[in-house]
Amino acid sequence: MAEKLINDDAVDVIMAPFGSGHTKIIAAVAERYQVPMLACVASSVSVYDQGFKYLFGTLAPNTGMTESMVEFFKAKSPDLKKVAVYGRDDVFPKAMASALATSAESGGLDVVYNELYAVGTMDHSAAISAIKSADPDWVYMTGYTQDLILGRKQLADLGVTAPIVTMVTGPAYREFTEGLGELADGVTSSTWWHHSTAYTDAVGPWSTTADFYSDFTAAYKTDPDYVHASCAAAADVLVNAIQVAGSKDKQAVRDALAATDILTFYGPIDFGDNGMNQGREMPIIQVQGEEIMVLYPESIVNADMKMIK
Amino acid sequence: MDILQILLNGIVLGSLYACIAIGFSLVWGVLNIINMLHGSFIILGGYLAFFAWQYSGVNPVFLLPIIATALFGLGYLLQYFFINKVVMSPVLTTLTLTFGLDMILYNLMTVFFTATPRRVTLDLGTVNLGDMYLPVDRLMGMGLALFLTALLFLVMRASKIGRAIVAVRMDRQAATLMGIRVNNVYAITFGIGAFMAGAAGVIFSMVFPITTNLTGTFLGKAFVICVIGGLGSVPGALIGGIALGLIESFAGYTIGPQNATTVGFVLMLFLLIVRPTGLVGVKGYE
Repeated sequence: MAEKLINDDAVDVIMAPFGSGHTKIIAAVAERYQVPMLACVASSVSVYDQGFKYLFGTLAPNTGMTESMVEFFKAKSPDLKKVAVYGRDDVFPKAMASALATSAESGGLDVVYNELYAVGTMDHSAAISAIKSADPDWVYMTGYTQDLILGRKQLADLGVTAPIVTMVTGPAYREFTEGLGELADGVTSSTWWHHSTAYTDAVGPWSTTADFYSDFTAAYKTDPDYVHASCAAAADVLVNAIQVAGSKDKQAVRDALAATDILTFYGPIDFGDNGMNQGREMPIIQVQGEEIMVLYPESIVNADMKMIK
Repeated sequence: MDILQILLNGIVLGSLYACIAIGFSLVWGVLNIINMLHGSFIILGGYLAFFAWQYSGVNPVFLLPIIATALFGLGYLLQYFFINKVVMSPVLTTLTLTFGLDMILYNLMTVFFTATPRRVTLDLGTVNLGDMYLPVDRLMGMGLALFLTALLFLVMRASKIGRAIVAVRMDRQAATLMGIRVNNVYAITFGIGAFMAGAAGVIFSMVFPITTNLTGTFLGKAFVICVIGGLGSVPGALIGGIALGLIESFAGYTIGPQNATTVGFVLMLFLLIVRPTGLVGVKGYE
């Protein structure tokens, strides 16, 4: 598909596919043909550490999420001692699980379970039985929505009663809460963006976060998640780069993207040497009732954290 | 106590696997068709259950006969009008045709339902035996697997159509000479396979998040289960499913969930080498 877009359709820029895994593959093709590529849903550092010059990503490195989460949960739950980490063996979920295990250990927590599950796993009961035996205070699971819905349900089915359950990035998507109903209540997660953020004087068609939220909800009758925001911001960045370059010449656009340092409704975008957006303070969210509430950072908090009973 | 929980997990999971494979095994064993549509039939049953529940509020269990019958009709028509045209061709031809039909059905479902995972959020709770937990929805899956196996056994042994299916499987030409409408028998067999897939999909809509992304996973499991259990024997899928469930459950607990599915495939390869008929399969069906 990427070859066709470049050779047959003669595109000037590629917007990357969903996820770190797919982005990593297409980035190699774009690099070979020296076509700028904007990735809006790829956050694993391993996608960006290949020395590519034409790849730019609007999400910040996913490893930055875990350290702040460990410190935040330790502050909210002084009894927190043991964490179970259970991740999908795939680029982004694996990176997140690994980063959390490292952050938890360096934060003084005891990682009592740390395993990966294969892509296509239909059942988590064996792993969850082992997690239950380890009696963790915190269960941290990564994967995609269908994995996390099944995992959360089986945690409940098998009687795991950890007061903190984190599923990355489950609650950031509406289908996660819809697929779980009451079982979603209390599940925490990290995300790259939440509509509670309040940036103003941004470049592009939405000068504030509120403007974007308003337009999005009017058009789609649902709240935007970080994927919507990151991808809309990537389009803002692209338009800005073409304006700065004064043409659609691939090299000129690439150079303009590399020099980007702007504020969008989604937040600041300033690509580092590896093409990733520089680290930002990323929100911790929790499902409370039917709402997604923001627990961290302090500047956009709208609820206090609740433990699962 | 952990071991007992793992054992129960394995049996219950194996029963769900059996639900996946019973219809697939029938079609493969009788028609010699590797039905690539089977995973999509299960997902279609799940989607129908989900949307019927969402719009009517009726518990999907009560809708199971209607949805399974609808899938029977779809399977019957596909076999009668399309697959029967090439049913006597080598297995690769029917496999390719069902693969093509599966691509159409898969993409139609993705277009109309999207690939968003959906689940009937009727959480039915668990049965607790001391420290052990058994989810009620999975127990229903186990009941369905036993019911479908018993039903298939009765149909094949005690009904006119069952005897016709067996006769066609044994000798197509002789069955034709005896007045059996072979094309109709083929279509009914394929319809029964789809019926069973649809019934499994209804139960699965409460257990798994239903999405078209799962069709390949279901198909892969069905294939492995049929090789392990063997073809040509009604309980083959049930035994193969439970064997795979137990293996994955114990492997996941002892050597890690990352390796659990690999162990199932290794067992399949081992059986293909040392016992091509599977655990309870009949010689000549492999």
